[in-house]
Amino acid sequence: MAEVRKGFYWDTESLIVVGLFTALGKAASLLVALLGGGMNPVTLLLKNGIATALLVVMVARVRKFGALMLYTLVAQVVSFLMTGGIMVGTLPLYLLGALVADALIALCGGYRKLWAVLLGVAIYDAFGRLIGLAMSFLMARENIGMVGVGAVIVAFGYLGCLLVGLPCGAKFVKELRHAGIIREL
Amino acid sequence: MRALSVSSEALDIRTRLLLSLVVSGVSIYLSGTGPLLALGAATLLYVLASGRYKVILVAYLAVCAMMALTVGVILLSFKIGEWFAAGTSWEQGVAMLKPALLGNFHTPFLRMIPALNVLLAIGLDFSVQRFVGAMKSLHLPRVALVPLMVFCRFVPEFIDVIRQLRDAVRMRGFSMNLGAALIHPIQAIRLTVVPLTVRTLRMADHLSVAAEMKRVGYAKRPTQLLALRFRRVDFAVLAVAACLLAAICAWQAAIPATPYGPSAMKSDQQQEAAHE
Repeated sequence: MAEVRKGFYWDTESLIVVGLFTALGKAASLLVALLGGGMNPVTLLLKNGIATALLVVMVARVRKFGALMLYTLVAQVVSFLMTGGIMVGTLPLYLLGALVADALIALCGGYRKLWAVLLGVAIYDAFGRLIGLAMSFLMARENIGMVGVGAVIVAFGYLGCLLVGLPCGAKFVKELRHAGIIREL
Repeated sequence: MRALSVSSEALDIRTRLLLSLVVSGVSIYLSGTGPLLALGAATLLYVLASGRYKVILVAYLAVCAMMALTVGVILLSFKIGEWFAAGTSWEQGVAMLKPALLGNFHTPFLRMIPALNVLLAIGLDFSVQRFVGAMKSLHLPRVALVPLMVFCRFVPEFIDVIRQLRDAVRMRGFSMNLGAALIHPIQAIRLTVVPLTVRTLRMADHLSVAAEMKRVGYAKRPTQLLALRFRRVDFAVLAVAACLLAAICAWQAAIPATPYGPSAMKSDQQQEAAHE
């Protein structure tokens, strides 16, 4: 019989929600890419928008300091499996970005305030995109043109996060709270 | 060939993960064509040992298409700049691109090849059970292990849910494509994302109750159904890889550094100005 511990900060439910939303985010990105037919402005807006909306719902559901950090950790390990080891070196930077976003949410009134969650997710997304862009510079440093194209795509993606993701996420959280699926207090 | 293959039966998943990590890191450091080609060739041999030639060919064709698309987008961005008369003009763009095409334009693409090869070596023999076993044997904390296990188990489930959703939307007389999303974006989100989100949250409820009942993640030492062990072949492959990587890095160090990015462009401009 294995030894059993009690009293975790991260209860099993929160961990399962983080794992499920990471899986859902990847599956939804795949869905949008398949429907949208690859790299075009509408697909980019929708893909990033949906990912951000799901992230807002996840943070509103988990409601614990470190939710974004945990999500980042899982998402980065998954990225390692999907894109190889290239991105693993940036894990500390991503975690730092998530920590800043988590701290911002906590400082702005906590995870119960929807606008604080939206602000935190917006900052988290911005951090993530900047780090991704820095990484693409490292990969394609010999050809600035490629980095420039990447920067345009990243900027467009962030537009999708701000214009589609955050409003949709806010609407989802309100509806899900109304339906009792996400706790109000 | 299959008997000699570097497949799941021969190589531990942790060996392949470690190789992926190290090779990707080294490929970022390398910038010379020779060392990158050598690393690409070595990793290609490694992935060819799996014997899955058809899949490897398809992956390579997909990456080639992606590279062609990238070059096309770069050229198009210069054309757009000319149309709007706000950015770099077509002639300026081509003039900027010409030395890069002749010089080290190919380097970022060459850098992707080793990373692709080591990734294929993981993906071609990927098994959820073996991966979960590897994560457990790495003594990852519970906070990382439980979400990762959930992720690995539920991606196929979500893909199935998405298929069901597509059928349900079709039955209601709506279509799920780019045109429909463009004309009715809110409806597209309502019909796809909302059911997925609600389903996920309900699934999380059921799964967390089941996990609590089974006390998942509470044991100090998680039970391992599949015991992973490093074998001689793992040590041999790691040793060969270490020697090869050291040699390639030494080759790279012997090549004089070439400037890149804005500094390179500035020095080119300075040279042109001095020439004039």
